[in-house]
Amino acid sequence: MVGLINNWMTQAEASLDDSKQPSWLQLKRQTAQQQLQQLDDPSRTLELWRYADVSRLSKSLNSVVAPSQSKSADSGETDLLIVLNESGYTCIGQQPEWLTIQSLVEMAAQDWQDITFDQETVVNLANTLLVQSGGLITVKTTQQPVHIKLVYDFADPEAWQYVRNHFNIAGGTKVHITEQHQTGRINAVNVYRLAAGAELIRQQDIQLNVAEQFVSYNQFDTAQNVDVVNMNHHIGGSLQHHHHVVNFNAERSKYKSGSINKSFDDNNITDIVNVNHHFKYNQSDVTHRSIAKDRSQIFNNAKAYVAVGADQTEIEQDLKNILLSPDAKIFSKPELEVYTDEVVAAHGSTIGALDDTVLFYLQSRGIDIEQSRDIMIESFEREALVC
Amino acid sequence: MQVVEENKVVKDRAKQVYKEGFVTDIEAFTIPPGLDEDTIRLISSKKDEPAWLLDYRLDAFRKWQKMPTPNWAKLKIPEIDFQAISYYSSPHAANANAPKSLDEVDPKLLETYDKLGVPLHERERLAGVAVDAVFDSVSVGTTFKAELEKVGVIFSSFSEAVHDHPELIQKYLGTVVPAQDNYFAALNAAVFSDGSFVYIPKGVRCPMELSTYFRINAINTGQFERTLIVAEDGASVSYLEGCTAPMRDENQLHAAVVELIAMDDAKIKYSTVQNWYPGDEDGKGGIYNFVTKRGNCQGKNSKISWTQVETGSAITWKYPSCILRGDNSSGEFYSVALTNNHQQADTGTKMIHLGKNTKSTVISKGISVGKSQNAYRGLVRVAKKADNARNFTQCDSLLIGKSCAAHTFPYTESANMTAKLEHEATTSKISEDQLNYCLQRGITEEDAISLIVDGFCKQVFKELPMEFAVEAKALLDISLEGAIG
Amino acid sequence: MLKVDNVFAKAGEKEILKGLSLTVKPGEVHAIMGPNGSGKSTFGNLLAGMPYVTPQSGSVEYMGKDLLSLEPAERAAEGVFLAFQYPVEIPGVNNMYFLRTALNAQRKYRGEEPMDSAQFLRMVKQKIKDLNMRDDLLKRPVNVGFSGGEKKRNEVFQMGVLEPKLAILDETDSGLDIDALKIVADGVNHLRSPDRSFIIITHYQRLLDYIKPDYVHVLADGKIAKTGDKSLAFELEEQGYGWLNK
Repeated sequence: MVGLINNWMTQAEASLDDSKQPSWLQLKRQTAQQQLQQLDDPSRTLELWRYADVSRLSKSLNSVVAPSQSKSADSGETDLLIVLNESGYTCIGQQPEWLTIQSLVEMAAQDWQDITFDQETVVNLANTLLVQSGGLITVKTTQQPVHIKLVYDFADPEAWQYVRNHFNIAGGTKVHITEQHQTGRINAVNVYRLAAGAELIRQQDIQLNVAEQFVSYNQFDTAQNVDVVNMNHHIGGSLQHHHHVVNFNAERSKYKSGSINKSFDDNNITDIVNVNHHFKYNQSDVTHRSIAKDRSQIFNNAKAYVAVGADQTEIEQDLKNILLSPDAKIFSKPELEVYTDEVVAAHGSTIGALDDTVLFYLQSRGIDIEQSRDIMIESFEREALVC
Repeated sequence: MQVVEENKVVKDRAKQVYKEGFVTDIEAFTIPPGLDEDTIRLISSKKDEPAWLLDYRLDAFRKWQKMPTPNWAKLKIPEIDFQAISYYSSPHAANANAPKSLDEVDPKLLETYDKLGVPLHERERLAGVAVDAVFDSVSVGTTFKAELEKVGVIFSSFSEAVHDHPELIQKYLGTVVPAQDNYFAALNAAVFSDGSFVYIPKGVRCPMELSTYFRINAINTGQFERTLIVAEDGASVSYLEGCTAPMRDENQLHAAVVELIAMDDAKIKYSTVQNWYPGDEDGKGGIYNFVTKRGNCQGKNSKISWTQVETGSAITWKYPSCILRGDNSSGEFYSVALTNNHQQADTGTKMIHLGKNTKSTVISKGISVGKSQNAYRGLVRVAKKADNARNFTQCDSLLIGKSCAAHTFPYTESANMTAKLEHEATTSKISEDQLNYCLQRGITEEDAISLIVDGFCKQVFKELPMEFAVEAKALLDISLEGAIG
Repeated sequence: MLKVDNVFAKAGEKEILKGLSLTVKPGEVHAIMGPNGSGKSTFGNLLAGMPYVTPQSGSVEYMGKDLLSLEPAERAAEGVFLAFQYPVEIPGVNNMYFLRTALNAQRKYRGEEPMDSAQFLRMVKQKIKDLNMRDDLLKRPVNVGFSGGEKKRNEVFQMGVLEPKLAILDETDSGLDIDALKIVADGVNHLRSPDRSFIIITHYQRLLDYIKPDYVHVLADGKIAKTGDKSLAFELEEQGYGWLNK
C-alpha cells in the first residue's frame, strides 16, 4: 500500500513527455502531477473511501483473472456500438451522421472539462495524471431517441486503464447511452454535458468477476430543462467505486437515478451520488437498492446540496439495503445540506434482512423458500429500476 | 403584501430578550487566565484532591496537548485562545470544600438562583426536585440531600463526592468517556472544576427528580463541569440539567463531560434544557458549548434515555450517545434544537449496538431561524454480534427564513443480518397551508408559528418531565422571536 | 382429512394453544369463534406453518401425513391454504406473475406439468367469471395499495386459482362492508365441494349468515370450549363470550 501516489508518479514519468499528446493535455497532466504531490495517499480516513479497502487499488490481480464470462457485447437494440480499448474508440459498423467522435489527441483543448479533484477524490485525480484514452463524443439529433452503447474492452486485464470520456449532448437531443464493462481494470472519468432541453438516459452496467476492479467518477452538468435518468447496475468485483456528481447549472431540470448494487465473496462496492442544486426549480430523486452476501460490503451515500436561493427544490433519497449473510456489511448514508427554505426534501435509509412476513406469505402459497427469497430480491431490485 | 407585514413583525420582535442575561456582582476567587500544568495543580490543590485525581488530570492534560484541534465539519469556529481563559472561578473566596449548609451560602447567590426560577431556600424549593446548583466552577449547594440519603441515594457536588466517596469516583471516572476520547473531553478531564455525582444503589427508584443548574457568571471563565451517574442493578433515576449565562460580548467556553452507567435492569433518564447565552442578533458573544455526553448500558435490560432541548449557545457541539452493551438494553435520544440569528448547532447522537436484542430510538427535530446553521449528525452502528438489534431514527428539519440552513448527516452501519435499521428524515419550510389555516381562524402569525413549532416538537416534549416541558415550550417561544420573515 | 390432537403451541414466547383438538372431514365447513386472544389466528398460522408459531406437543394429521413436519411451501402444495387476516404487500411483484409462480411451484411438487402463460391466462379468466370478480387487481403488484376489501377479495381469488383441499379463512370478514362481505362469501360458496373443507375463523356470526357452517366451535383459552351447530353462533352473538368464563 505504501505509495500509491508514488506509483502513479513513476508511471506518469514515462508518458508525460509523450509527443503524441497535444501540449495542452500534457499541461493538464503536469498540473495534476503538481497537485498530487501536495496530497496524501488515499486511505480509510477519507469520507469517500471510508468503507472500502483502498489497498486493493495497488494489488496485483495476478492474471488469475479469467476474462469475464461473456457479457452480451453485441449491439442488440442499440443504434450504435462503440468499443473502447488500447487503440481508442472504434465504431462497429457505419458511423451515423448524428454523432461525432474525437480521440483525446484530436479533441480541442476547450472541450476538455477541468474538474477540481481534491484529497477526497485523489484516486480520480490520478485519472487526469495518467489519462491515456477516451476523448469527446458529440450527439446531436432531433429524431427519435438514439441508443449508443460504449463498451470497455481492454486486452490487458491487469494494468489500470485511465479513461476520460466527454459526452456533449446537443440541445433537444434525446439519447440513451449505455456504458458497459467487458474487460479491463478501469479508472474512468465521464463528463456528460447537457444542453438545454436534452434528454439523457444513461446506463452504467458494471458486472465484474471476483478479481476485477472499476473506479469511476461521473459528472453531469445540466443547462435548463434537461432530463437525466441514470441507471446503475454494479455487480461483483474485488473493488467497485462509483462517484456520481450532478450539477444543476440552470433551472428546471430533473435528475433521477437508480442503483442496484450486489456484492458477493469479499467484494467492496461504493456508490456515491452527489446532487448539487445550484439553481431554482430542480428536482432530484435518488434510489439505491443494495444486497450484500458472503463477506462483502457495500457503501451507499446520497448527498444533496441546496445553495442559497435555490428555491422550489425537490429532493428525494431512498436507500434500502439487505444483508444476506452473517459476515456481510452495509453502510448507508443519505445526506441533506440545505441553505434555503423553499425546499421539500425527504430521505430514508434502511438496513435489514428479507422481511419474514413476506417470506412466509410466499411460502404459504406453495413457493419454496429459495424461490421465495429470489422473488423478494427481484422485487426489491425492481424498486430501483428507473428505466 | 404578506411579505411586508411579515417584515414588520420581524422588526418588532427582533429585539429579543435573554432574560437570564444579568450578571451577579459577587466577590470571587479566580485563577488568572492561562493553562499549564501549574494551573492544573492549583485547581487540584484548591479542591484538596487526592494524588490519583491530580495524576488523572495531568495525564489528560498531556494527552490533550498532543491532540490536533478538531475538524469542525459544518461549524465555523474562530480559533480559541486557551491561554486567555480562566479555568477556575469560585464565588466565595474560602476553600471550596469547606462544609457548608445552605444557610451559609452568600445571599447574593441564593438571590441569583431565585431570579433564575430555581429557589434553593428550604421553604421555596421546587417540590419533588432535588437541585445541585453550580455557579462557575463550584457547587453552591445541594437540596434534599438528607432525604435522599435515607434511601441510600448519593447526590452531591462532584468535589464533595471525591472526598466522601473516592472509591466510587475512582472506579467509574473516565470509564465511559476516556480522557483521550476527544479534544474537549481531554481538556475537561484536565481542568474540570465541579459538577454532580449521582449514585443509585441496587433496586432503588430515586424518590425525586434530581437536577443540576449550571450558571456561568464570571467573565472570561470557562466552565468545565463533570457529571457522573451510576445506577446499580434495578435502580432508576430521572435527572435534569439547566444552564444559563449572562449576556457578554466575549465568547465563553463550556466544555462538559457527562458519563452515565446503567447496570442490569437499571434505567437512567437524562434531560437537558440548554439555554446558554446565544450571543446577540449580530452573532456577538455567546457560549461555545462543546459537550461530550455518553451513556453505557452496561447491564442486561438496562435503559438510557437522553432528552434535550437546545435553544442557547453561540455554538453547540454535542452528541449524547449510548453504548448498548448489555443484551436487551435500549437507548433513546429525543432532541429539539432551535437556532436563531447566527447560532450554529451540530448535534445528534451515536447508538452503538453491541449486545443482542438491543434497541435504539432517535427522534430529532431541528428548527433553523434567521441566519443560523443547524445540523443533525448521527451514527447508528450494529456490531457483528448484535443479533436482532433494532433502530428507528427520525429526524426532521424545519426552516424558517431565507438565510438559515439545515443539514442532516446520518451514518448507518450494520454488520449483522438479523438487525433492522430504519432512518427517515424530512427537510422543509414551515407549511404555508398550516399557517394559512391558523391565520384564517384568527390566530396571529407569531402565535401560529409558535403553535406549529410546538406541534413539530411534540414527540420530544412529551419525553420531558412535566415542569421542564412547560419551561421548554416557553423557551422555544422566546427563541423563536424574530422568526417570521 | 384433518385431525388435530391435543395440540399445545406458543406464539413467540407466549403459550397460546393449550390442548386443542379438532377433526375435519372432507366437504365440511367448520367455524371457529372466540374472544380476542383465545388463539384463533394462532391456530390458523400453526396449520399454515408460520415460523412464529411453535408447536410444543400434540399432533396434526392431514391427509395421512404429519402436517407439522412439512415446510410451509409443502403444506401449500399438499392443499392447505390460509387466507391471511392481514395479507402482505409485495411491491414490484405483479399479482399474475405471483399466482402463476405459486401455481406452477405447487404443480411441480405434485409432479404435474407447469402451466404456460396462455393456459394460465385462460384459466384465470374463467375463475374471474366463476367467482364473479373483476380483473382490475391482477395487473397490480400483490396487495400494494389495495383497500382492506380488495386485499380480502384477492385472498379468496388466490384460493380459487390454487384450488386447495383445506382452506383456512382467518378473519376474512373483519373490516369488510356488507357488499365486500357478500363478494367474499359468494366466492367461498362457489368453491365449496364434497372434497374441499373449510375452517372459517371469525369474530362475528354475520359471515355465517352467508356461509353456512356444519359445525361451530368456540375457542377459549387455547382449546375448544364448546361445539355446536349454527345456533351456537347466534347464542354467542346474543350473550357474548362472557359466560365462557363462568
